[in-house]
Amino acid sequence: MFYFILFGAFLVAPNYSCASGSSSTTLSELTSTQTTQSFTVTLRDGDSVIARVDPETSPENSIPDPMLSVLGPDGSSIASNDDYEGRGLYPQVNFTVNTTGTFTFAVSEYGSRTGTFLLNIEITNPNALTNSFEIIRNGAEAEVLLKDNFDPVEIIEYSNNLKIWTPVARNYNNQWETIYPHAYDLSAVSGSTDQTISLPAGEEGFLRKRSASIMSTISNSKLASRFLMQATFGPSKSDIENFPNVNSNTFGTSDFENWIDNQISISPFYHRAYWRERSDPDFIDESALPDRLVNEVGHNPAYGQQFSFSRGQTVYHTDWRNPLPGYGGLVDIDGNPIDENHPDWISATYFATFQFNPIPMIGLHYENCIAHIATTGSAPYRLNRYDINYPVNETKRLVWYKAAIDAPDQLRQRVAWALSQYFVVAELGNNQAQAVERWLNYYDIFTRHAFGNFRDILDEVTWSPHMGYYLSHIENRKANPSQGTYPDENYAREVMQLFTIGLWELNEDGTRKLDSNGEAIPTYDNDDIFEFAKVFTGMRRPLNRPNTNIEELSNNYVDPMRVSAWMHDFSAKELLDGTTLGPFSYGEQGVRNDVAGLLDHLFNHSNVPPFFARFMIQRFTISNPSPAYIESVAQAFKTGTYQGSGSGSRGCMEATVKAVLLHPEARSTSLAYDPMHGKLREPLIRLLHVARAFGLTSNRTYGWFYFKDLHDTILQAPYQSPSVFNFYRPDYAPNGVIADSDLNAPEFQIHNDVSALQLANGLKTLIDYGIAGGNYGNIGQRNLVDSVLDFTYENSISGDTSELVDHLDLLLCAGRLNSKNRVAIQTAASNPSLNLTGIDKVKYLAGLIVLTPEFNTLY
Amino acid sequence: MDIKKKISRRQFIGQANCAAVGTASLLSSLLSLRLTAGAASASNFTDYKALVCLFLNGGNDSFNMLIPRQQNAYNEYEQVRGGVGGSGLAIARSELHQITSSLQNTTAGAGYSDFGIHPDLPYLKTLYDQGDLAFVSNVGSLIEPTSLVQYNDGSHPLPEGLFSHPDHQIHWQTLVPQVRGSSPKGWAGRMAEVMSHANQQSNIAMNISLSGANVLQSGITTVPYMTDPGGVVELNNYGQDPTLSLAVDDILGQHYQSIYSKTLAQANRKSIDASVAFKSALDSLSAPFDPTAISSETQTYRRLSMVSKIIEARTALSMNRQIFFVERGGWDHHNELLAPQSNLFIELNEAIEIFWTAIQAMGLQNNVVLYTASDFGRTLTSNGSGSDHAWGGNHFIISGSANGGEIYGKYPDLALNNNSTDLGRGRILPTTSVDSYMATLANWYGVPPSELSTVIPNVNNFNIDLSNPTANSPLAILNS
Repeated sequence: MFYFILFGAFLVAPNYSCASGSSSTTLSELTSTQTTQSFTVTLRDGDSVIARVDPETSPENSIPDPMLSVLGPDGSSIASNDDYEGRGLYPQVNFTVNTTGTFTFAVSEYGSRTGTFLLNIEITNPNALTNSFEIIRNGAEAEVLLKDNFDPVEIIEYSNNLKIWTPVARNYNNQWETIYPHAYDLSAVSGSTDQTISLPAGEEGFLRKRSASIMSTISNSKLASRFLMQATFGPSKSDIENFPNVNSNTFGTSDFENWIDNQISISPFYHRAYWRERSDPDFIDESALPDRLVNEVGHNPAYGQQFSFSRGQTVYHTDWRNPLPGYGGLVDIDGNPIDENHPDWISATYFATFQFNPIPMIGLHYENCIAHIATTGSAPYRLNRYDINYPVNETKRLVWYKAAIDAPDQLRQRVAWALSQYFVVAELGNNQAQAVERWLNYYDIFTRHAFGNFRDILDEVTWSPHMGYYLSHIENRKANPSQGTYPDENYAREVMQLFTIGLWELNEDGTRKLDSNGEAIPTYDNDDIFEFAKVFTGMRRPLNRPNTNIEELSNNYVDPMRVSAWMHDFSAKELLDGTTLGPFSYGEQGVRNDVAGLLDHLFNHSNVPPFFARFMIQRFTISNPSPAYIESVAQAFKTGTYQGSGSGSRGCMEATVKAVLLHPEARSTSLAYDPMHGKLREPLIRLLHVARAFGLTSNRTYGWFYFKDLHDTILQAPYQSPSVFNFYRPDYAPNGVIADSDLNAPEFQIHNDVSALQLANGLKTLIDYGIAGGNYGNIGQRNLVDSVLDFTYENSISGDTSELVDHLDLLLCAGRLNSKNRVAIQTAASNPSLNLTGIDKVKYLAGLIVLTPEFNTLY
Repeated sequence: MDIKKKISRRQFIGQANCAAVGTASLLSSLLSLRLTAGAASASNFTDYKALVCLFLNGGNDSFNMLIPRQQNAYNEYEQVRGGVGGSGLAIARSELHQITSSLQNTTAGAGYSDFGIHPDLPYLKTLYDQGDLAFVSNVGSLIEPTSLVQYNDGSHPLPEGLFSHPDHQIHWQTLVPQVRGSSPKGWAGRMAEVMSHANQQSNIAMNISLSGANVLQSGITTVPYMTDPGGVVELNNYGQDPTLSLAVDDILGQHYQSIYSKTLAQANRKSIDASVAFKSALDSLSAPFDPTAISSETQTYRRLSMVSKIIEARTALSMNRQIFFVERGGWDHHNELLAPQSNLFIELNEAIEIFWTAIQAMGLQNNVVLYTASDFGRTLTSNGSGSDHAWGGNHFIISGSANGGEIYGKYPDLALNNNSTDLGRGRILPTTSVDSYMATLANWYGVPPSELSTVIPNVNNFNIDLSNPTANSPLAILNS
């Protein structure tokens, strides 16, 4: 048995509640003025309850002959007892509850004597996790012994009011650790693998333990499915079946790492290159030179023009004499010639337009689409009825949805998506949403460096004119006191607050450093911002040159910003640690030294590894990582290696990503029994998961998936964060158990009364019809079915409902659909009045499964 | 490492929902909330009152919204803003809608009476001249009254995270600027808890957001009901397919161990129930709400229009008190100020005019208050073409209950490096606290004086005399 607690004064708790599936013992006493003690407990329909009163461990203080009675929510008597057979003068009652509500347990004394007693209430529910905890008085000691290796999962929770419990320590995989949000000290007991947890002296409160001792065996397929829910935009049947070793009995962590290594080796899906390719297939220069970035689309030498481009020492070799080329044939998405005699294709107007502009519609630079639509004339001319037009600003999202749903380099795309939520540039507040190429070029910073180095990302983001425009450091000038102008402070602030060090000084495990008064320490103040704003001066919009953007009439927001030394403040800048940056000598190199010096200063700040680690963990695996998990990822970032792989340089993304996905806290299955473990999944990823699970196929000629206005409905869509602060804050806590426990769950910030139902309806639309809008649903365009799911396999097994549910459970919930939900869903789909068979049954079942928490959350 | 201290503090945050408390009274008032929330339930409300918060997210450059017209003061304004035209941020004096203020024309005020409203806000002048609109000048988050000398010598506690968006936004909403973050919860959330007896018959929250989750309306135990300007969103087929609704009820009614599953199931249960109640209330209107009838495309109008529809359904919803949150983003004008701000003002002017006309048509102009909030004012000096984050700013209240046609709070001296309010670069130190501004709203709304410090914890630092609205208490803007 486990003995815990109690430090400081004991708090008498007239009310407390405990969860179903738990046992609690609490100490109280009767006095001459308090002759009855009542406790209220919330019980649920189906709970079996055994309640008894016992003497305290030091029985001389205990009341000798207590009585126990239980009243229901309506005040009626449920049970009462004075002396229970076999327990001497001590009572016990046993009953099963058939209603949900607040029950009162009243303890009084037969002979009106006073003293202490222990009330133990054990609640079991066949559907609930078995918990147990005991509360024993322990004087003023604030030390609890944590026994090693007891149950697969043990969680110690703290409370000062017996109502709200927050976790303080946890044991899984045979190791005790501190957990968020309370990082109490753990220390080893000499000569034993036991540990003690030290609690602050002077605190009043209680501890309890919750534990789970029965673990079910989880198949390799389910483990793979869960991993793929963390690391991709959702598993398909073949993704699971083809996962390394999933059918072997040697399945383990190395298989997950093999999968990651394989993902890293896949040639990247670059958004800009794809968009350009789809805009004009002949634009691509495949003969990549060593110093050329693969996504930096060069002209085809066959058309007589060539340039190369590299970062760092920025060099251009451009033939300025030739205008923007772009001659191509009528070629479809796969590079195959289009049949110009296709009945839908014949249009005099279309070809008339064509002749005057020899760039085919596929490559039309300033048309409202990137493929297949001509909007000239009174009616759209299109290859098939699904080729409905869309605004040009949507084309960046079309490419994004294509990548998320179909690209094989899923992990890279997920990392890029995470980074785009960290270094945010969004359409709101930026009036250049239609100038698509700069957005894609910016996004590809993340695609390119997904497994590269954080410092390179920080550099490219800082020098990006697209970011410069968004956070307004572009064209920023040194102060001009005579005109009363000062450098813009926007980027100086956000590069610290959001992109590098955050607001508070952190320990490597992500907990806050504290000053001698126990207060958290701010990382910077407004004077630092004022100072650093001077660094980000003299960075200017790059000059226009050919082939940077397809959009005509658009300025160059693709190349890195250029430098004008005369706009730069060359004074020395005081850094956060009191050292001085510069002054550098006047000139372009001086500006570059200034910016690089400040970025190095921030990049090397000890906050960056834990700050970024927590962000990445929240995006991929769980909302409330333990200090140990954060520290492990932070060290991978800092040292550049994780379990032997990585570049060895600070900021290595490969090592960071591996640590996020391979750490025991991400991989352990026993943590499924820790109520604090896991996260709400991003709504966009939930939607795309269904799309990928059932092989979404487009009806459109060029294979586009046009999800419409998701930022309005589910409050999340690429490039449409409401501000630089992303869709949600890392520290958002919804009211209720999460906020009460001082924990976080960012995704709940966009889960509100409207968006929750919009997402549920969107998932149902996708399942029933595909991407569809108008009368069909809320995720597509007009009364049109843009794309459809493929239920061929599911249909083939639909005769066996149980097998079908197993399959859907594996695909959508990583096999953890709980038994009660399974019954509810199967019962509904088997309702004879619905008479469901075949695909209708598949859709009905899938439509219900996506409403379960097992689909919507990760563990 | 000093873990013990840390834990002690963190626990305090978690359990008292309030951290780094500057004064004992703040602590006691927040702790007492749980006790008092239901305690004031004795009296019943029969009247109807609604507060509409229009939050200008990003920091409205409001010294271009309310501008001194008096020639010498205008000259200072024009100079600090870099002049009219070119890269200057000033608005030409001749374009302003002229208004006058007698309060400002005193030694306690700015010392002059002649002001102007931005040219794209003509409806504000109309309301001001009718006495249905009041401005509040140089408002900002403060912990206690702070002079420039006190600011510079560090002798007074200052709000955390000065000049940063999320900090100032949250301070406006929690009214506890000595705490960084949302743990003290929003003041409208606390007010709803104090006033929970007002809407006893309703299943819908007192706080309704047209703009999603926000700190303002999240209380210790309550969250706002969030709805959509496009109409009530319901779960597909829930009302039509009893088999489906039974299964959904089973799924959402389960007891989940995982805090994420539990929160999700509870939230979805609440969303479904509220959507059913809301839909039936709106359908019960004599002319049922038709979202497609809304012609204006601006988001402010669409949201305010939904607010007026919900107000119209107040009886069906059993509401005596309601608080609405409407947000309009896009005010962070670092890059370019004049044209984008002008466009936003045009949108606001139109939306407010249509909304207020609808309120008047219902005869509720004395029962509804619309007020503005925003992160902060902006630097008076330019960064070239825009302005940066600052502090004090100007706001307005619209209501038939307002003692309108006045500018409350002292309009500041705009001269650069003046020795009363300029922190440098034309960052204006606020002379009226957000607390003072919100106190007049809370008082009008019906918060009893004994509970005012529960809703506005620092209120007693500002010596607001609400019991004597006609004397020198500068923010007795609303007649309760």
